[in-house]
Amino acid sequence: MIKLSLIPLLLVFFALCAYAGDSSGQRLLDKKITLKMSDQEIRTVFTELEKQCQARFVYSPELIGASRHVSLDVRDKELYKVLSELLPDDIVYEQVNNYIILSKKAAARSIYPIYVMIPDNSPYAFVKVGGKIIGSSGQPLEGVSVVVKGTSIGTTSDANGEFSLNVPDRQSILVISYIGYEGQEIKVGDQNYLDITLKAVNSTLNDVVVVGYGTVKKADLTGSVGVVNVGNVEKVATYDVARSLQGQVAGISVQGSGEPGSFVNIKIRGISSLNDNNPLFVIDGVPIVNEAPYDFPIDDIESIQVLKDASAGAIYGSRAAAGVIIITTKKGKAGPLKLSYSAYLGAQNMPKKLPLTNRQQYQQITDAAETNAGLPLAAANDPSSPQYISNINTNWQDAAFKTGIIENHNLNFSGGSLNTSYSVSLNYFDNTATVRGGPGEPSYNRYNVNASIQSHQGILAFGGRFTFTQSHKQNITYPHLHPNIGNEIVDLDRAIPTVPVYDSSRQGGFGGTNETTQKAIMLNIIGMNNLMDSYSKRDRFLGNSWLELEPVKNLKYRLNLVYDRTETRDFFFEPQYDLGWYYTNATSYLTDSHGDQSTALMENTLSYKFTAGRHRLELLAGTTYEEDDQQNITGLESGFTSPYYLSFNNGNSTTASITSFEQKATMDSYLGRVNYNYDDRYLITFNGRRDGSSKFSPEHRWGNFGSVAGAWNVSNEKFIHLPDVISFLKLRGGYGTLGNQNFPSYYGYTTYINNNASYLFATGANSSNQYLAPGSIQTQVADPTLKWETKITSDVALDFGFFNNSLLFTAEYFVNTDKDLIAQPPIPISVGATNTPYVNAASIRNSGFEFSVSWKKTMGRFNLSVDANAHTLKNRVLQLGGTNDPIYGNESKTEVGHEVGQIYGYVDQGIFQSTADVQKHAIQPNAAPGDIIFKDVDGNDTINALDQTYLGSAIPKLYYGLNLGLTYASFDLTLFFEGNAGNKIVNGLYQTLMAGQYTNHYIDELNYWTPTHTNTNVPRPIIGDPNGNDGPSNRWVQNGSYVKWQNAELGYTFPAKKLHATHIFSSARVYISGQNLLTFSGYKGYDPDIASDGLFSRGFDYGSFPNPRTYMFGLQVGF
Amino acid sequence: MKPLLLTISIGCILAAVSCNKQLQQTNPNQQTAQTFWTTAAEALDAGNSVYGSLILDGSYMRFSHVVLNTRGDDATSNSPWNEIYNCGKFALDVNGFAAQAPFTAYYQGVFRANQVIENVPKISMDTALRNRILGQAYFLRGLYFFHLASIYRNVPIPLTVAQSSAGFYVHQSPQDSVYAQAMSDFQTAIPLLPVSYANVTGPDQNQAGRATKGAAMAFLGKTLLFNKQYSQAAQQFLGVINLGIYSLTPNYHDNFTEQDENNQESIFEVQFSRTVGGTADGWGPGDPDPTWGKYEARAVTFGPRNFAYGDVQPTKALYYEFLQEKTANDSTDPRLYATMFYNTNWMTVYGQPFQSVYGAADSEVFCRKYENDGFYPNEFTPAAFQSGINYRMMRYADVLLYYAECLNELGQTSQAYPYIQQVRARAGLADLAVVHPNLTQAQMRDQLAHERFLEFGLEGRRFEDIVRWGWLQDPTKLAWLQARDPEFNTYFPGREYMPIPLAEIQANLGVQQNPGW
Repeated sequence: MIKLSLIPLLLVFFALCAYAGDSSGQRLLDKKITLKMSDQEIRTVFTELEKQCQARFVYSPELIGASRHVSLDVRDKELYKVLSELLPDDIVYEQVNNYIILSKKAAARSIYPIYVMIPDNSPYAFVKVGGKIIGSSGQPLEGVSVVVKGTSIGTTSDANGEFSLNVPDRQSILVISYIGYEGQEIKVGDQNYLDITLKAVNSTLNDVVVVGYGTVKKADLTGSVGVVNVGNVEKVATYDVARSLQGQVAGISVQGSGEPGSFVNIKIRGISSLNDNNPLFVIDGVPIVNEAPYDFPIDDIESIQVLKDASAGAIYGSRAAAGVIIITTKKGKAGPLKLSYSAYLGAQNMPKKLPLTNRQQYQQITDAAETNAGLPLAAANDPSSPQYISNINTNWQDAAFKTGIIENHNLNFSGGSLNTSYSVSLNYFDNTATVRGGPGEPSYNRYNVNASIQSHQGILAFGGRFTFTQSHKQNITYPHLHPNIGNEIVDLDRAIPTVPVYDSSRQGGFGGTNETTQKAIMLNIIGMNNLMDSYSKRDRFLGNSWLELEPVKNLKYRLNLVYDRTETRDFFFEPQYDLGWYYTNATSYLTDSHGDQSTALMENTLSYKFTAGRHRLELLAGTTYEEDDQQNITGLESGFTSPYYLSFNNGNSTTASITSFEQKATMDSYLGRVNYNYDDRYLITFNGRRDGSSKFSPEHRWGNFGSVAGAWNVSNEKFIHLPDVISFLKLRGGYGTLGNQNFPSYYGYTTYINNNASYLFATGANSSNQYLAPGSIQTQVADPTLKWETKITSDVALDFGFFNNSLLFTAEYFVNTDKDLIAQPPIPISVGATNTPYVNAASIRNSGFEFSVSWKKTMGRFNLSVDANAHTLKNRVLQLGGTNDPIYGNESKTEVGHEVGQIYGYVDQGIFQSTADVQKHAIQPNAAPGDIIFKDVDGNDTINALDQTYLGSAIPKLYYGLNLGLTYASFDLTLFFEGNAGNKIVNGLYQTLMAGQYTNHYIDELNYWTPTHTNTNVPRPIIGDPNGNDGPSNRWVQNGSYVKWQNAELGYTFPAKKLHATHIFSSARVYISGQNLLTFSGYKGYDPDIASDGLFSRGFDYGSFPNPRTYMFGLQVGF
Repeated sequence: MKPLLLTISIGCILAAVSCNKQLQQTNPNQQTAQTFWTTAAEALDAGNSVYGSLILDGSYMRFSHVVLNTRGDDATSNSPWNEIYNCGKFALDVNGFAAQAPFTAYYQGVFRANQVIENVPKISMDTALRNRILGQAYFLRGLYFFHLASIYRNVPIPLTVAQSSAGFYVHQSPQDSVYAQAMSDFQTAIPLLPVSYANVTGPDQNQAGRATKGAAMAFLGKTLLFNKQYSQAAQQFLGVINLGIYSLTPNYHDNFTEQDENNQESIFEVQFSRTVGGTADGWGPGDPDPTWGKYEARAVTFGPRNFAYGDVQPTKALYYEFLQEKTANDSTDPRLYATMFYNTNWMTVYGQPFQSVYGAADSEVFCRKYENDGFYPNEFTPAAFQSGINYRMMRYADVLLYYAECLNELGQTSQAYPYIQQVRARAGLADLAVVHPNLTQAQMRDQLAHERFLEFGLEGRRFEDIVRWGWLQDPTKLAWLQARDPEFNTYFPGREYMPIPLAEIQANLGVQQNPGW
C-alpha cells in the first residue's frame, strides 16, 4: 500500500517527467524499412522512404543538402534509425499527422515553437495563402491563431493582423481562433488572400464550464452553476479571491472587514453550516482544504465557476456542502515565449469618520454621569480642580487614520510547444493599513510564485502545478492580559480627548489615563501599535501532479496527487510600557508559535464517454483519499529587558515554557457520476458517493449521499416553436443530498484527560513553602453519538437566451435543508465542562430566488455590456438539538421557526420623566427619571430577561450587483455597484459610544436627558448604568441596507501599430480606478458591510475594521 | 489492449489504498478518559485536580472575593468596571462576568469531584489513601455546593458525569436541597479524612492545604448554622475545638500575608504562590494548560489606588466601627491597620507616606488585608495579577465566633462569652464579661455582629451574615445598612442572591431565574 508520505516524491518525479518529455514521433518513425539504393540523390531516397511508410517528409532542401548522393542498405530497420544514418546529428525529426518534419535541432528541441511551418522551399507543391484578420470595429487583431484543421500546421497573425501560411492543398480548412471572439473555419478553396473579420463573442452559452472532474458546455448544464466574469473580478484590488466575488454572482454573499490580510465570510445560498460556511475552493482540479483563496493572486485566474447545488457539487462530496468555487488558472499556450507584466499602485483611506465628542463635550457628559451617580467629579474633568485638563483635545480618529498604500505586481512568462506548455508567474502584493502605528500597524504583504506545466504524448498526458507563497501579516494586537473586546476601532473611538497621543513621561512614550484624575480605562491604539509586535508568517507550498491515460479513445484514467503544506509562525511581543493605569506592563512577554498543516490528497478517477446516434453518455467513477495533519509548538517567555533582543536566550529562563500539539484526520470516499444527453434536448445527471471520515466514531463513520438533476433544452425541440426573439430556452432542476464533516475538531467524539489541572500544597503545617501537585482529570465533555450532517438541496431554473443569445437571463428557485448540523451550541454551565462539545445541533432551511442577466451590444465603435444579478434569501430554523433550546448570540437569538441569529433585545419605550412615571410602570429595579422605559413584553409587571423580544432580521432579504461595461475605440470604462437590503445591524460600536460612562462618546449623547431637557430619546448618563440603558435593545438596531458604488475603472489600450514600432511591447493598457467610492446607507457605523461571526451574532457590528476607499493607477503590458 | 489492462489494474490497486484502517485515528496528545482511572497515582492526581477549581478567576483568584465582599457594608466599589462597580449595588447584568464567573468555577469543581467519587472506588489501591482522596473530593464538592447555595440560591445538583449530550441538562433544585447536598457531602467526608496529614502514610504525607477532618466539621457546622440547625452546628464546632490542634495566631495580621501561611489558626485555606507553576495568569475558565500560574488577583484588584486598581474599598462605616472601642491599654484596635490604610500622619502605603500620596485632606480608606504592603513596592510588581497570598477560607476565629453564636441562639448566652473573648483578647480588647456583662440573647446577637464585623472585615463573611440574619427583610436594619453604605439604596428584594447567569438559563430549560432578577 502506498504511503501518503510518498506523495511529495511522486510530485517531483512527475515534474521531472514533464521536463524530460521529448516530442519525437512514435508510430511512423518506428516503421520497419527494407531498402537498398546506391549513390542516389538524397531526395530520391526520401521519395522511396515516403512510399514505404506512407508519410510525407517536410524539409528545406538546404537543410538536408537534398542533392548530395548517398548509399543505403537496410533490412527491417526502424525509420528513425534509417534517418539517423542519412542525416547529420543536428537534424531532428518530428511526426505531425502524416508528415515527418525535419528541422534543425536547436529549433525543434526548443519547447517554444508553436506550429509546424511548411518551409517555402519545400519540394512539394504546397499552397501558399495569406490574409488579414480584423475585429468587427476594423482594428487588426494580433496573435490570432490560424491552424490547418486536423494538423498542427499553423501560424499566428502579426501586429497588422496579417498572416501567411503554406497549406497542404486547396481542400485544407483553416481554423481561426482568438480569445474573446467567435471562432471561424474557412476552406481555402481557390483564394490566395483571405479577408477575415472576427466577431467578438457576445454570448457565453458556448463557453466551457469547469465542473467537478470534468467540463461541460454551459448550455448543457443540469446543475446550478454560476459563472463569474473574471474581467470584473480582476478590477477589484484585493489579495483575496473570495473578497473579489462580492456582488458578482447571484447567490453569493460576502461579508468582510478592511483589515489588511484578514479573512472574509463568504456564503453560497445562505447559512448552511453552523461551523464553516465558506465554500470549497478548487483550483485547477485541486480541492484546497486550508484557507483557500487567501494565498493566490487574482492575476493568475483564467476562470471562476460557482457550484451552488448538490448536483453540481456532489462530486466533491462532503467538502462541497457550502458550495464549491472552481478556479482555473492561466495556462501556457503553444507559442513563443510571452512575457506580460501588470501592476497597480493605489492609495487607501478611511471613507468616513464618526462624529465623536471633543474635550469639552466629553467632560460635560462624563461630569453629568458622575453627578447622576452621586460620585465626586474626576479631577481631570472638574473645572474647580487644579488637575482639570483644558489644554489637551486629542481627536483620536484624526491622529490615527492615515493613507494606506496598496500595490500589486505580476509578471508572467508562458509558452509552449505542440505537446508541452508552461506558465510561470511571479506576484507581489503589499498593503499597509489606514491606521497609524509602528511594528504593530496592520499590514499584509505576499510573494507568490506559480508555475504550471502540462504535456501530452500519445495515450499519456501529465502535468503539474506548483505554487509557493510567502506572506507576512502584521496583526492588530492587544496586550496579552487584556484580550481585545472588539477590534482596535472600538478602542480608538472610546479613547478620551483629554489624553495626549504622546507623553514622554510614561515608559514607552505614549499617553494614557491616570487612575486618580481621569478614571477612564482606555487604550492608546497608536501607542499600542507602536509598542507591540505581532505578526503571522505563512509559507505555503501547494503542488499537484496529475497523470492521465487514455488507452482507448474516451476512456480515461486519471491520477491526481495533491500536497498542500503551510508553515506558519505566529509571533507576539509585548515590551514593558506604561499606557495608562490599566494598561501598564511591567514584564515584557514573548510568545512564538511555529506550526504546519498539510493536506495530502489522492484521487483516482476513471471516465468514459461515448456517443451512439443521438445518445451521449458520460460515466465517471473514482476514489479519493485525504489526510490532514497539523502540528504546532509554542514557546513562551517573559522578563526581557530593554534594549530588546527577542531570542529566548535573553528572557527570564524560569518563566519559559513550551506547549505543543499535533493531530490528524483522514477521509476516504467512493464516487460515481452518470451524465446522459439525448439529442441535446434531454439531459440528466446522477451522482452517488460514499464517504468515511475519521472524525466520527466507528459506528457513525460512513455516510451515503446522492443526487439527480435534469434539464430540458426547450429551444432544441422541433415541435415547439418559440418566438424568434427567444434563441435559447432551458428548464432544469435537481434534488440531492451531500454530507458534511467540516468542523475543526479531529477527535470530537472522545473524552480526554487533561494533565494540567494542577494545584499546589505546602510542605507541612506553618509553611508558605509550596510545590506543584500534579492534577489530571477529564475537563471536557463529548458527544459520542455525533454523526454526518446532511444537506438536502433542491432547485429549479429557467435559462433564457434572447436576440441570438446576446441577452441571457436565468431565474432560479432553490430550497436547501440542512439536517443534523454539527455545531457547538452552548451547554449548561452546570455541566462543569470547559468546552462546548460538537453535537448534531440543528436543522435549517434556506430558500430563495436568484436572477441573473447578461447583455452585450455593439453599436459602431461602442461596445456595451451589462451584467446584473440579484438573489433573495429566506432562512428558517427547523429544529435545534434534542430539546429545541434556543441559542443566544450577541443581542440575538436563534430559535425554531425563526432565522439564525435574529436580533433580540429589550424594547425602548421612551424615557421616564418623573418618579411617578417609574412607579406607574412595571417593576424596573434601579430605574429613575431620565432612564429608559423598557417594554413589559410578557406583561408580568416586572422587567427582566424574559422581556426581550425579536427586533429585526440580520439576514438581508435581497442581495444585488450590477456591472456596466463600455468600450469605445481604445477606451474602456467599467462601473460596479452592489448592495443588499432588508437587514438590520446591531451597531455595537454606537452602543458603546452611547453608554455615557468614562470613555468617549458619540455626539448624539450630548442630547442626554436632564430634568430641564426632557424632549429627547437619549437617557441620562450615569456611571454604573444601574437601569441597563446601555443593554441590548432596539436603541442600537439600525438599518443595514446599502448600495455601494464599489468600483469604477477607466482604461486606455495603446494602438497595436504604435506599440509594434517600439519592438518591445506587444500590448499595453493603462487604467485608473476607484473602489468603495460611495455608500448609500443610513447606518451610523463606519460601514454597513461588516465582519461578524457570520452566524448566531451575524448582525452584530462591534467595530468591524472599515473597508477603505481606494484610488489607484494600473498598467498591463505584454512584451 | 495492454494499456487498458494496465490502467484498470493500477486503478484497482489505488482504489484498495483507500482503506478503512486509516480512518481510525487516535489523538497523540492526550490520554482518553476510558483508559484512565486504573492506578493509585491517577487517583491522587484526579483528587488534586478537584482543588484546582478553587483558584480560577471566578473562584478565589478574584471574583469570589468581589462577589462576597462588595455586597457587604464593610466594602464598596468605585471601580470603572461595571462588573465590580454594580455588584455591591445589586445592579449586576444577569449576563455579565460577575454573575457568570463564580458559577462556572464552582460547577467545574463539582464536575471534577463527581469523577473522583464515581471512579476512584473502582481502583484497587491502598484503602487508607483511597479514603483520603474520596474524603477530599466529598469535602470539596460540599464546599462548591455550599457556595452555589449561599450565593446563587436555587441551582442544579449534578451528581454524576454526563456520558453524552442527553446528560447535560440537570434541573434546578431549591436552595434547601442544595444545602442538604453540601451537608451530606461534608458528613460523608468527615470519617474519611485525617485530622492532619503530618503522619499519614502515602504520597500525601505532611502536605498542608489538603482538606482535613477539622475542615469538614467546620464547614458542616457553618452550613448547619446557615440553616439555623444550631445544636447540630454547635456539636461540629465544639468537635473542631476539641481536636485541640488549632489556636489563634498571636499576631492578627499573620492571617493575611504570604509569610505565615498554613498556620495554627488555619482550618482550610486556598493555596496561591508567586513562584509555583507557569507564568501566565491561570484565569480559567478554559482548559488548564501548563503555562497557568497559581496566582491570586485579589491584591491588585482590591489594593489602594496608585498601587493597585482600587476596585474595592472598605466603607467608612467599617473604619468608624473600629474606633468605637479602644484596646485595654487605650490604643486603636490593631485590626484596623491590618484591615485598611487610613489617613493618619504615621500611615505609609507600600512604603510611601499616605498623606503625600493622597493629600492630607483626603479621608478615603483603602484595603490592606490580603495586600502585599510591606513586601513589594506596589501590586503591579513584578507583574500585575500575581499575588501569592493564601486565602484563609476558615480560620479558628470563625469556629470560635460561630460556636459562640450557636450557644447564644440555643439560649446559653453566658457560655458564649469565653469564646468571644478569645478573639477579642488577641486584639487587646478588654474582657467582654467585664465591659458588657449579662447581655440578653438579643443584645448578644448585636454584640456578635459587631465582633464579627471587625474580626472578619473584608473577608467576605459580612454579607453572608446580613443575609442569614434576615437584616434585608427587616426595614429597620435595612435603613441602618443604607445609612452606613449607600450601595444598599439600590437593594431590591431577592437580590441578596446573585442572578443565575443568563447563559445557564438559556442553555438549560430546567433552570429559572431567581426571584428578584
